[in-house]
Parts: sequence; C-alpha cells; structure tokens
Amino acid sequence: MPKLIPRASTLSTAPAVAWFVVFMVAPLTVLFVVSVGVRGPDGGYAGGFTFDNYLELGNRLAPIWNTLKFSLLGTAVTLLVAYPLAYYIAVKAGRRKLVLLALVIVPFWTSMLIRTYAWTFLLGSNGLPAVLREWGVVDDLRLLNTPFAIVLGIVYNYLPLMLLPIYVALERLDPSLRAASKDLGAGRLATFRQVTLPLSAPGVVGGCLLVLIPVMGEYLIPVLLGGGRSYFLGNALADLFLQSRNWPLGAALAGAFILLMTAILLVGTAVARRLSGAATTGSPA
Amino acid sequence: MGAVAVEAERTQQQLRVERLSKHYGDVRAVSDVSFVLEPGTFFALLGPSGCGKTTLLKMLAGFETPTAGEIFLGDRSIADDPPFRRPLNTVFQHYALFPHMDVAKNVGYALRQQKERPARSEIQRQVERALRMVQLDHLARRRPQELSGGQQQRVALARALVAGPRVLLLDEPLSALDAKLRVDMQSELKSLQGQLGISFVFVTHDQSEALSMADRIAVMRDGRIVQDTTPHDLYDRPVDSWVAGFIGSSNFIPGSVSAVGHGRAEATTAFQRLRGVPTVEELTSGQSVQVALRPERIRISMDPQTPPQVDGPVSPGTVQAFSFHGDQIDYTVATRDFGTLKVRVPLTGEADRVLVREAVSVQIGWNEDDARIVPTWDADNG
Amino acid sequence: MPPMNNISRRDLLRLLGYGSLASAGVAGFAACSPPESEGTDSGSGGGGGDGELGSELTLATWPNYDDPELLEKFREETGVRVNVQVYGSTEEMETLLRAGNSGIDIAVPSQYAIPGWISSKLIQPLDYDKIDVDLSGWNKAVVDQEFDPGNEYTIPKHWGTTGMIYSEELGEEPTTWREFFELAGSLDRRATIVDHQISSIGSAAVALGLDFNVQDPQGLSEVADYLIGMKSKLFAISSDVQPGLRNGDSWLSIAWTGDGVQVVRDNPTFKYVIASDGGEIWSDNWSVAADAPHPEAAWAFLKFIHEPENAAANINFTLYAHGDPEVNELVDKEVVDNPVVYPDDDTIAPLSFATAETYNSPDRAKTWSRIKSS
Repeated sequence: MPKLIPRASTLSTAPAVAWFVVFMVAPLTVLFVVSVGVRGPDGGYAGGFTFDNYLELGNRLAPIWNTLKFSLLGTAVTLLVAYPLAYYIAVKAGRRKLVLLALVIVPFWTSMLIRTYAWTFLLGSNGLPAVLREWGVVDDLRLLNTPFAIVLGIVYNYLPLMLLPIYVALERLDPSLRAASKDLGAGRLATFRQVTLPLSAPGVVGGCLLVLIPVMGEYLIPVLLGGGRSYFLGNALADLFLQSRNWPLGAALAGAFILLMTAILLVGTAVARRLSGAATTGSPA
Repeated sequence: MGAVAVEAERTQQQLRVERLSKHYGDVRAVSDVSFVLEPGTFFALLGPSGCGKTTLLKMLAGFETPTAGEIFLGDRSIADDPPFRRPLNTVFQHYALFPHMDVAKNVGYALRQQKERPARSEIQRQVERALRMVQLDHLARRRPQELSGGQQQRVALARALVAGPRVLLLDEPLSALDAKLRVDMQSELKSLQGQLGISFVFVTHDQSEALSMADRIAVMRDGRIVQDTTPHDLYDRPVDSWVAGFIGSSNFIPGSVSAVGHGRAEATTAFQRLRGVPTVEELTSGQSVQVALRPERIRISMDPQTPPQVDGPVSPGTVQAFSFHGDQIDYTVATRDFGTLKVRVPLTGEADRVLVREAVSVQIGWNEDDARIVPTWDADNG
Repeated sequence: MPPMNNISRRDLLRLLGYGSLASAGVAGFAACSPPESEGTDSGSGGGGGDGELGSELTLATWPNYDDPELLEKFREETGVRVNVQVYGSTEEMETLLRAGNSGIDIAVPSQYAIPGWISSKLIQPLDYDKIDVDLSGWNKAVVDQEFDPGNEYTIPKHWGTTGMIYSEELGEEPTTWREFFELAGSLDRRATIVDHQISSIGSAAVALGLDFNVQDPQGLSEVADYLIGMKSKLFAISSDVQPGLRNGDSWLSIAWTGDGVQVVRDNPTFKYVIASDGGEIWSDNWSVAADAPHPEAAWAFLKFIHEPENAAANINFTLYAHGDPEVNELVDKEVVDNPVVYPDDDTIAPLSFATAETYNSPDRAKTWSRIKSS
C-alpha cells in the first residue's frame, strides 16, 4: 500500500527533531568546525583545518584542574548543607514546609549577579569581618577573594538545585519505612544509614549533578567572590573569546568541556539508576 | 519446677496496659485504656476509623508517647523505651517493606540490628526458617515490589517475627488484600499464632475479621474500650445498642424498661411490650433500651396461614425486598405489628424451598431467648 | 557601605555579558551580551524622518559616555533619534561588526582596535566635508597617531590614562610602576590589578624596564614570572576596582581615568597618580561603520557633536579629556583644572598607546591566561 501521507509518528516527532537539530546538532557542528580552525590575525576565526587547538589544551590544564577541584568541593559542601535542611523540611517541618521551601526558593527570583555582588559587601572588610572585629572574635579576618568565598558563593547560589531533588526524594519516602526500621531494632542513626540515606540516594546524585555541571561552567563567582585570582573554565572561555579573541582555541576548550560534562552526566545518571535500585529490574528466582 | 514457676514464666510474658491515654490538645485520641494480655492471646482491637485503635497500637510499638498511663511487659515498664528497644514487632498496614532490599534482606533486618549480631550463616538460617514459615523460601532473592500483595504480606509477617518478639502488633494487615485472599490469610494468621504461642494484637475495623480470628475483642469507641470480651459473648451480649449494631447486624425496636427479673427484662415499645434477655445486669425500670433482634434469629414461615413455631411474639407481614447470598437469603419484611424487620434465612438445602418474591405474604416471629434488651447508646451523652 | 551606583556600569555589563557567554557553553556564536538600550525615545514631537538624514541612528558606545540631553537636542535639531547601545568592551563591539548587519552606524572603539578595523574594512573613511572638523589645532598627543595616520577613519572622542590609585592608609606614595608593583608584592592582599592584559601586562612591563607594548616571548615570560610571583599577594585581578577601594579592602590599584575621577571625587583621601616611568595613554574614537545603514545621519551627528559647545557639554557630563583646545575653553573650569582628567603634557609624555599588535598578540593573550590560571 503506497504511503500517501507521512505516518503520524513522523509528524508528531517533527518538532522535537527540529528542536534537536536547531539547538543541539547545529551549534555543536559549528563549534567543532571552528575548533579545528585557525585564529585570524586580528582575532576571530579564519577557517582552516588543524588539531593544534586540541593539542594546545594540554598546555592549559590549570583551569580544568582548578574547576574540578572547586566544583567537587563546592558540590560536596552544598550537599552537606542541603541534606539536613531538606531532611528537616521534608520530614520534620510539618505545616511550615511550604513556607520554608518558599524561603529557600524566593531569593532566587533575583538575578544571580546582584545576589552574588551583594556578598562582596558582606564579605568585604566593612561587612562580616567588621562585625567580628567589633565583637572581639577575630582581629583581621579576610574573607573576600578567598577560596572560602568561592565555596560560599557556590553553596549559596546552588543550594536550591541540590535541595529540591533531595527534598523530593525524602518527601516521597514512606514514613512507615523509617518506623519499620526502628520497630525492627534500628536506632536513629542506623535507620538513617540503612533506610533513609539509600532511598534518598537518587535525589542526592541528581542534586549533585544539577550543582556540579553548572558550577563547572561558573564564571561570576570566581570573578566576584574570588577576585579573579581563581580561574575557572568559564573564565578561560570568556577570556579566549573576548580578550584573546581566539575563537578556535575557545571552541576546542568548550568542546572538551562539553565532553567532560557529558561523561560526568552519563556516569552520574548510571549511578543514580543503580541507586534507585528500587527499580523494577531484578532476577527472577 | 512446678506450677509456681510456670505461673511466674507466664507473668513475665504478660502485656499489661494501665490507664493509658493520649491527648492531642483537646482531642482525646485514647482515654484511660487498660487491659492485660496473657501470652498466646489473639487480641483484636476493633472499632470504626478514628476510634483510637491505631493510636493505641502506636503507643504499644513506641511510635507515640502516652500522655498518661503505663505499659508493662512482665514486670518491666516499657512506656519510655524507644521503639527499637521494645521486644514487640509490628506488621504495618501497607507492609512498609524496604524497596531497596530483597526479601531475604528485609526479613533479616531485625537480626542485623541486634547488639550481638549473629554470624552471617546464622542470620541466613533464621531468615530461611522465617520464610519457610510463611511459605516464601523460594522468593528470597526477589524485590518486594515484584511480589503480589499476599506475598508482601507474608514477607512483612516473616520480617516482624524473625527476631522472636514477645508480642506481635498488626495494623489492619489484611485491609489491602482482596476478599478471597483475606479469608485465606485469616486462617493462616490464626494458625501461625497458635504455633508460635505469642500474643497478637490485631487492629481492625472489620468486625467479621475480628470475630473469626480473635480470642478476645476489645471494641473501641471515642478513644475508650467499651467492651472487652470473647467474640461470642460480644455477639450475644453487646453492652449497648451501638456495639450491637457494630457487631453483626440487628433490628432495633426502641422502648423503655418496664420490668426486670429472673434473667428476663420487659420493654415497653411503640408496638407492644416485648420480653427478652438483658445483655447487662444493671438495667433499671424506665431506662431507655432497644429490643435487639438478630436477623438470623427471627423465624419466618412462608405459609401466611401458619405462624412459625416460637414462644415469643408473631406477626404477619409482606416481603418488601430480598437479596440472595448463596448461603443465605436476606429479606426485608414489613410486619403488621413490629414495623420493618430484616430477616436472614440460612440456606441448608435447595434455595427454591424458601425463595420467594416481593409482595408475598409471610408470618414471622421469634423466641424470647433470642431477643436482647440492650441499653440505648446515645452519641450525645454516651 | 557604598551604594550600588558606585559600581561601574561598564563592569556590570562585562559581568552580565561574560556570564551569559560562559553559561551558554557554545560561547561566541550567539552575539555577545544583549546590548542595553538607552534610547532617547521621548515619544512624539521632533521632526519626522522625512529628510535625507532619515529618522534614526545607532550608536555603539560605552556606558555613561554620552549626555542624553545632547542626544535629545540632536533629535530636536535634525529629527534623528539616536539608539544608544552600550558595551563593556571594544571586543564586544568588534564581534558584532565582524558578524555584519549589526545595524550600527557609529562605533566608539579604543585606539588599539582601529588598525584591525580599518584593514578588515569594518569602518569607512570619514567625510570631513560633511562633519566639518579641523584637527590641525588639536592636542598632538591624541591626533595623527600611528593607529590612524591623518585621522582618515577616526576622531578621538576623548582620551585618558591608566594610572595608579591608592589611599592615604597605604602610608606610601608610589610614583612609578616599579614602586607600585613592589608595594603590591609586599602587602598582604591589598593591591588590585585590572583584568585586561593590555593595561596590566603593559604596566608590569614598564615596572621591569620593558616596553609597555612588549611582545617578545622573553620579555613576556619575565612579566609572567613577575606577576605570578606576586599573585598570592594581590587582592584581586578585576576590572571592577572601585568597590574594593571604597570598602577599604584594597589600598592600591591600577585604574583607568574614569574610575580615578569617581573615587577621588567621592573620597579625597584617595590619590590618582600617573606613573613617571611610563604606562598607558588611551583614546576612544568616533568611527563610522562601513555598512552603516544611515551614513548621512552619522555625518550629521559627528558634525553636531564636534560643535564646541556640544562637545564641551559632553565632556562636562563624562569627565574625560577632549583633544580640541577650543572645546576645552568651554569646559567647566573644575574639570579642566582636574589633573586626573587633564594631566599636563609633561606628565603624559612618557606614556604609550597600546598598539594593535599588543591587542592582537596571541603571546600576550596566552601570557595573561597563564598569569590568571596560575
């Protein structure tokens, strides 16, 4: 039977395919083409075909290590702050749950730039250090433009991204599972370790990915709170495209960056899938 | 070792609840509840939703702190112990199986929490034994969510029993099962309890479940135990009209006491004076009562000319409706003398013999021994 | 705590632009930061766009570089409405011009970008007949320079310097880049250098006795070692120098004229000093895009903006130095007499313009990223 009209499935997937092509395939293709090109004498892109830009990346590992170091540390600290908070809101807060969630989320309706800028005043010597000096706690505390400030900026800006998936996981957790664990002789800590934590692990992994990936592309925090003394991939990219106007090298770095994040994402989702082991797979006896 | 030692041993296993109360602000979820359970009792806490039975169970398990009162296991007070230090285990309403552990891990959970954790092989042995007890040893490696509701129920049972609790608490454990499975599980639970010889405290709102399984039933209403006795006593001698209506079904004819004596009472009703067996001793003249008639105790004669053979009142009537249940038929009969009554006729032979249609004239009646005179329960000052 | 309006808008723009670039991942392919519109759209009135000039003109410039009252006056006189697009850097303007069809008529590049813009034909020769400007009497320090001999393509809008700013708290009064960097390296995180390779590498090179426009690998590696050696002693590598100074976190900083004027104006305990051993002089310059959609309006605007009274009004607004002595006659006395804005000839004599080679040098760019990532 001749096909006079496209099958319904072809028609219905067309927008998705178009979206994918326009927003994924095309930009990545452009990115790759530029990354194997040559920088023009006045900057920008001047065609050509070479893998030199990728080889050059080997000489520019510092921002990559720096980014990995700070994003892993920042993600870990964010997790340590977010988990107890999410636990409290999901399990203990009762009727105040919505209010607390709103308190966590509402500040993020303000631009990240403004919020982060505000911290420069809080951490500057007229801010928190001045208060502590007045109280006689510490004499000369320097917070702004330190690694501490960067980690603080990460925790502050990315807390909701970590908190919400964990909150959802804990919220969905049937309270009778914790009750059952205690009933069967496990104390609070043992219950947390054996029941609550493993069952919220998919939320933890999801939250970590949601924080880690954008933090790796972070530009503002190292500039505003790190005083430009810590150099992230995002800063390297900005400099390559604007100050150096070396588009091919910038494209190569961006490409490597995308690959790195894709790898992290794949590993992360695989771990999450395993952890949510509650899944329906399993060997029939 | 003699009778004294055996008696002491028994006392050690007693679960004793004394004047236990739980208030949430002004709401009295449980008020002044007391009972003693001898070991090996199948004890049902029966009542409608909101009566406090689940709160009471949670206090026994340790999930709720009593506002007042005491809980003793033997001579030791356990009211202040956290759940994980009480030698009682719970089967939860929706089982609460750990979804990230297989069946064997679920069942072995309690053993792994023990201070002196048994060797791995010992745990495995005990898990296998517990699973065999519920006939699930072949499913040890499955995840709970791969099992049917009945299988999950058995896993929950094995998990709660594996560590050898002194008392097993069951929170409406059969409510999520379909009717047929529920009946099977009822007899299985009963026989399991018999084998283990420990007490089961079983919370349910289903009176037939309680009647069929329990050795003792405590009926709860508004946070209080209103009657605590054997199933047949509960059925035959309900303390008031509310219990009579909650357990089984009854026809009620309201009236007031006009005479008491010699194991009989007489009530004045709108129709005539009716005599019956009082269910409580302290009836007083003029007290508001109900003449309660179980539908299956009313006799019916399909021949409108011949009243049934009874020593009590009879009346002609007309069948208004009927429903066929296989083993019985329920009729609604409009009687000339007593208003509309439900009548239940057990089917011991062919249905044709007693099956009649609407608008057929019949005669009904009952023996005086089968009428119960029960105090009226009034929700406002009950 | 200083109010937010002390944050230089240029830097906020830069942050917004870079931020969105960096998070876009595939940076550079989207146009840079969305230009902030400062249109002087005052609704009705004014001439219709029927004349040969048309009805509008697009000006790509920097924040707070143009007095809105002047733009309104221009609209009243000619009927041409000026769409103002502000950018945080010359590089951003360049990205748009290179992409083509930017709609930009007039751009205001820093001098170092001009040779590249000329050779890439991004801008067109100026029609001096139409703009009616005579540069012969102008300050020789800013006209007829190597980046545009004879000013065929550009006219300096205004010029400035890259100096050092410090507070009295410092207790020292550095006058050379050598002294500046020695101090910077001896303090515990009190000095700021700007996040711009041209100014920071150049100034450090001067401190080491090298040329401001140093490009040879040997010299650059010396500069890199020097700056990397003191990096842990710096407060910040940031072009947003004002908040640190105003909050007392930073005691000395490399700074451009605009930041110097504002900080010293608001807080007289600060000093802006032009180094005596060399350093940077810079100019931002009027130019007309080769593909300008409204060239006639552009000529008319350049004619208007160079009429001495208009030019002077703009200087009073922006507080940068103009190159035309006739204009400076009309500028407010306190502006002309401010040595931060109008340093004397002897002071600027040792200074150099950053060249196009310095701007484009891959080695300088690489050196800068080495310093920042170390």
